[in-house]
Amino acid sequence: MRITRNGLAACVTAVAGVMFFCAAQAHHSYAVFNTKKTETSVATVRLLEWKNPHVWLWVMLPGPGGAPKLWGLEATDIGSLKRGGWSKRTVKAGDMVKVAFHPLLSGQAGGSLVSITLPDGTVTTPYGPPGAGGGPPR
Amino acid sequence: MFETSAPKWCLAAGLVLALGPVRATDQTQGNHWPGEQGLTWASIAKLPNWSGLWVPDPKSFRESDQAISNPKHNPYSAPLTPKWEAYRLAHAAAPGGFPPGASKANAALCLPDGMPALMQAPHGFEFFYAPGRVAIVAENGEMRHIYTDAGAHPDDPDDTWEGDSIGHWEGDTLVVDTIAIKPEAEIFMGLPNASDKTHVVERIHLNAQREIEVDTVVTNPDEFTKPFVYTRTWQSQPGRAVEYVCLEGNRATSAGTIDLTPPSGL
Repeated sequence: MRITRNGLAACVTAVAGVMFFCAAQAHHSYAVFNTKKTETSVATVRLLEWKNPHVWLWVMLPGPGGAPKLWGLEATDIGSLKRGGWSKRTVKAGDMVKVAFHPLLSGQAGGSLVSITLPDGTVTTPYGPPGAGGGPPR
Repeated sequence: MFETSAPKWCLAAGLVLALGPVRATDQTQGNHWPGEQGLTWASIAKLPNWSGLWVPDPKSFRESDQAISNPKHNPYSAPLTPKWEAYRLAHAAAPGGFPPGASKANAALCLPDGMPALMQAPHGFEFFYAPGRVAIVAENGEMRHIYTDAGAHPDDPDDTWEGDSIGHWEGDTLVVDTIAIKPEAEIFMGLPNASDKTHVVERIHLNAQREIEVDTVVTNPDEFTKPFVYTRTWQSQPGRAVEYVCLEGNRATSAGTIDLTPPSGL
């Protein structure tokens, strides 16, 4: 995979958030997400739902009181992810990762994935390594 | 870029626009342009080689994607009539483009973008040649059939999402004239065609950076106060096309919300 190591996850998250906000509205309105808010959390992967028009990352996040809760995080489409170095095997069920996302304004357990820190410490975004430019997401 | 090539192609596009689309009743049936026209395999072998995958460059894509919500200093801002400017403003209230419940985005409903919006869609594109034909195939399954042997549009064609396209080669430039586009197709994301009077003239060529440039003039007197002129740029992309079937996992609803039903088993 073409994923760079980067320990400055917070910086990456901020930059990626801006880029994503600028570009990711292509398939549907981005107004459903709170782009002014970026949440970060450790997460346990349940499923990388490798489908179009958006790949969804389903993870367990710590809920109130610590009880894990299922969240769905929207990424870009398969083509944009593949061109950004992802594959259907980038994460698998049980992987411990760190995610950054814009939450849904509705308050539901969902959001738009901004960046992910993989188990080996590499950081990437839904359209490739931070700063790589990547192709335009759908 | 557009600035350097504008005078030459604008002149040609202006001439085409002034004359209007050529229809079969005119005395110009068949492609009578000089030079290689790709009407035989031998002729196709002498045409520019545009094989491989092309994707819109990110800057061009972002600007056109934001045209409905942020038109200032945006090269993809359309010269809209007051009626359609009001439409744009009504759909630009939300920071992402169009607020929930008021979206008019074909892609969100897995409908085709149609012309001319398809040419800005963030998919990979490929060109395929056959005698008398050029096809532009997008990863999302939309395909444009450009008839280079026709010379004229058919009389009274049915409106379609991609319209009726005829083309010819002027050296290394493919000139495409498209009419008969369904109003439901989009000008750019979130903005439909006002009527079936949309007329698109494109000059497609490689620029000095070996990128595909699509110099475009769109007219529709029901929607624009003057021709909508812009250039779109596609960059070469290694690798194969990636299948994109929108309906397989679409979670966007017609109400502008997201369906968060987990996949079975979770």
